[in-house]
Amino acid sequence: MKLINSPTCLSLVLVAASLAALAPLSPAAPRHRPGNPRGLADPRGIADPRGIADPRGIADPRGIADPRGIADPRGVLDPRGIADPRGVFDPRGPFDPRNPARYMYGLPGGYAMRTYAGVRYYYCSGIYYYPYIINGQTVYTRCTVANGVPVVPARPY
Amino acid sequence: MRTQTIHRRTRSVLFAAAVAACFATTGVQAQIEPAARSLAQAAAGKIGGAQTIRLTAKHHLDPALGVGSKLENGPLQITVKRPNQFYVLQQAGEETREIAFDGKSLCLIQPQLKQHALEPIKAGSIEQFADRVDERFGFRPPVAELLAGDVAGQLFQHVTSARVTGTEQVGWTRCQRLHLEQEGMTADVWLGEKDHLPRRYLLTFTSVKGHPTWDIRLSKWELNVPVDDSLFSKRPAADSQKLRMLKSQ
Repeated sequence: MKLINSPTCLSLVLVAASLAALAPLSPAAPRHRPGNPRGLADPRGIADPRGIADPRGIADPRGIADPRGIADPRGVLDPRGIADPRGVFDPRGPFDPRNPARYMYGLPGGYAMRTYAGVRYYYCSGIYYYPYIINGQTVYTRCTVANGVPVVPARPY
Repeated sequence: MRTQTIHRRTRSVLFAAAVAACFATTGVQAQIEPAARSLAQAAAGKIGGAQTIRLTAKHHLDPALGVGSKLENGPLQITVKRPNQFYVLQQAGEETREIAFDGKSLCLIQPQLKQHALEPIKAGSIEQFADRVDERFGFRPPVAELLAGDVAGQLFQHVTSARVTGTEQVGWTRCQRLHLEQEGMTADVWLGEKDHLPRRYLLTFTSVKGHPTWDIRLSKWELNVPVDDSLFSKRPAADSQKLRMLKSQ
């Protein structure tokens, strides 16, 4: 109450209230659009179907027709576009999270060993692998994760 | 002719070739030239008569046959003790692998990756060891056929023809080249002219598109030298994880 009683503060409040009342009438001021909850500064416009939860951001060049969705790990700088025909035999390697291969025969340099319930797994690129030795060859098989813990997978072949 | 299993796809091809060869050779005499037989028997006498063997093998597997593993090109240091003990160290960086067999147990160790497999297996000879490992676990110990007590018998198994094609140089060693053929593959073995020891072993998979090869160079042969007996019963470090050794289904 002391502030309201101050003449300087009171005049500031009055100026602010006046500006707020006049603002909607000013043609240069941003308009509030209820259909665009992302905020006034979003240039994508209210017709963008990606929605407000899209983490790719406004600089994403892939455009609104991108069917890959927001979980696409390739990132906004991926120039390949939505018609990328590369499949499971993609030479980018088995540890690329885009590769759906269930197993591979080697580990990349940056793997880590992690032990859960006495079982050692190899962790790389966000995925856990469990090794089998089949025909004398070590085969690293992708694990599913339940409650944050990797599960020993079935042998791949 | 015995070969090491390379991987699942090749294995099935080789198996089909071997089956075809069995039928093909039924009732058909393999054309083994006398010179080829006597050369192989000379090698068998030399290798089979040695109580211990140490050698180094460098090999190159055509990418069409492999899976991209570093083991496919890593050098092998092999130690054998008659009648049935076998050890190989295969250098391949982090994938480095050891195979130890003491006549009762087969232990496959990957020390860097801290994993191993240990399986009981009984064999009275190197030939039996290779056959049982192949039967149970789907692979053959490296170049076991050239280290067997009966090298000639191993080389001529399933062949349809064998001949000596001439004399060639392998490194500094003058060798006689033994050419073997069977359904789906050929093998060439370069045997030292003086000591009859294999210096090069070239397998060509004629049933696979592009005829890929597996080229093995054998060197630093040492026969009847003292060997470290503990190698054959080598076991992994305490923090190594035990894995099951399987054969593809």
